[in-house]
Amino acid sequence: MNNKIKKQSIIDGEKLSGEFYFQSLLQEAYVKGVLSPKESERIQLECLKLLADSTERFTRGQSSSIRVEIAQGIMASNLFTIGIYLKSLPDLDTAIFHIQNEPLEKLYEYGLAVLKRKINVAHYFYNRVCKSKLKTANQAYNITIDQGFKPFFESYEINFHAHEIPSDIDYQLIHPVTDLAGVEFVIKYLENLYYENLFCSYFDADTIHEVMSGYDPSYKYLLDNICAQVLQNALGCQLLSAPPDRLDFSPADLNALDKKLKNHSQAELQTQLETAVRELVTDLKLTNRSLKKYLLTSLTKITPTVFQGLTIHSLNKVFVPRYNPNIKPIIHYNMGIKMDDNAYRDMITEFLSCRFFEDKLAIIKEQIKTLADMEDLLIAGELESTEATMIFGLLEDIELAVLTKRHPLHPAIDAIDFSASEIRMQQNLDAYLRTLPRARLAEILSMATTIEVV
Amino acid sequence: MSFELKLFDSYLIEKQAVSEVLLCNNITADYALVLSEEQALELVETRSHSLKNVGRVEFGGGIIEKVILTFADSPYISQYRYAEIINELVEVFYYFKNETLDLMSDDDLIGYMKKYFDGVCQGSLDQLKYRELERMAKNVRLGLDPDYNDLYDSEKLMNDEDEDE
Repeated sequence: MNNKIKKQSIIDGEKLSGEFYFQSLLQEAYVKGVLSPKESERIQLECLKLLADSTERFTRGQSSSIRVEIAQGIMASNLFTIGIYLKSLPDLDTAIFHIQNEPLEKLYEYGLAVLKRKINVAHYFYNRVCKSKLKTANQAYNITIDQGFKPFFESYEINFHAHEIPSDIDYQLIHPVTDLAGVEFVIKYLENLYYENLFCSYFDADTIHEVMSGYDPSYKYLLDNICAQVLQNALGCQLLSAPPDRLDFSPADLNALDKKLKNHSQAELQTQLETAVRELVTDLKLTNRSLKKYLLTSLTKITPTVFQGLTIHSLNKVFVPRYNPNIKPIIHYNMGIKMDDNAYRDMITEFLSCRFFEDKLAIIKEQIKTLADMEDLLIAGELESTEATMIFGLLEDIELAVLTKRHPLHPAIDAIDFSASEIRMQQNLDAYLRTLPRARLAEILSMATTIEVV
Repeated sequence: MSFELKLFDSYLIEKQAVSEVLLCNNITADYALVLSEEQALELVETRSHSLKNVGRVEFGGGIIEKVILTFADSPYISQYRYAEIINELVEVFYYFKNETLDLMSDDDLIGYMKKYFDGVCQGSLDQLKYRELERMAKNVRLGLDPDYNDLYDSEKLMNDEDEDE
């Protein structure tokens, strides 16, 4: 039996804010009549006195006044520190007792001591995270662990900015940390990250790389969570009664999963996934109870994803098949040798001076011998979309596949990385490809994935 | 939920501040400068108003007493405009506290104000505000010596050119 007898309190702990704990506790206590107006006034006056003392320390006694926003920051820091201490007490009644019977200055001092201890806890979790770090190409993950916490450990300041989080955290967790601030946020984030690392450590790093490449070949630039995808795939394997460390699905596997899961409601699906998590924990011999709890609570995020995948028939996006991006492409395409610079310059000048498209076409047919030159011309030729369409029409599928591979259209990114003429060419190519029959387009795109331009 | 910084606009605190200002009369009386209770109250109100205007808060003893005692021996202050000048100086002080990005201590800022007021400004508050303190604040922001004046440099340059001719 896990049920513990919990002392009832007039104040509802659920209603309290994690970030502004002290303030919310005061408010609740005042509303519920636990704190009298007189006590409330005393606390406010003591808060001001504490702020005045902190301000004096902040200005080193050299200035009697400070800017309001700085004072607000110091006040928030003071209240956060007191809140940290009150949170460390066994229950809410004890916290209220301390508020009523101890001067705020004392609570603040106790809070500082707790903060110092918490920084050590953050160090502990950071070391665990570093030790269990996954070998992955994901930049957000690597940068967050390698550099993201440096500012925190170097410049976290508990006297005046205890509630701030001086860190660069980009990597997203399955359970994002909310409603916490300062060192508490960092501890919770690192703790969650450690559990995710721990889970991933049960799988081969190369396998995880292949899973993530299956999810998106450019996953290293994405801010998506790795552990969630690994867990999803492991659960999929578990549901198929396959070894969980395989993390791979054939089309037949996906069909089998679809059949197995499709007629269930979301609640039934949740139950089924819970069973799968428990089996997974047993199969992988996971002993860490916190990790087990972490995985089980992750289902609140995973179940809707699986349910959605079943509804829109895209289970292959949920249980992603592995893909090895290092497998060498089958087709090697040589773009040919570019013409001499002077000859090219003369040709492009003549091309640009042509009034009619027929003349331009004649130049192309006469002088362009390789795809390398054609590519240059398509970029520099200042072609209108109709002209570009006609030129693309002259190309074979393999040539279009090469151009598609070399000039994919990603409007949001390319606007910065490419010149205007390159973007125009990409847009023209994209527009042309859209006009092609589906089957031909699919063939070109599949060719583009297996082609290597030499 | 946020816990807004609340200032207690208590009558008692104001009264105490007024009595502290009036205590300065004991010293300034030697220079024939005295503030009435009404003027002291006005000064305290000016301080609150200025602090609010420039977005600052003050704890403990304000700078009114410091300003009064520093400027008491100024040859350009007489009883006739005493209260008015001190009021303006308090306002100017808080304004330039912000303009100097809090890089200057209270004592230093009041010291410079006194130095310019008695020196180049010859008692002109406008010159103090709009010329000397603006220049000083700019110097402080740029990391230069507060007293640095490029005007002197250009004058020196012109003198050098005259000498060359």
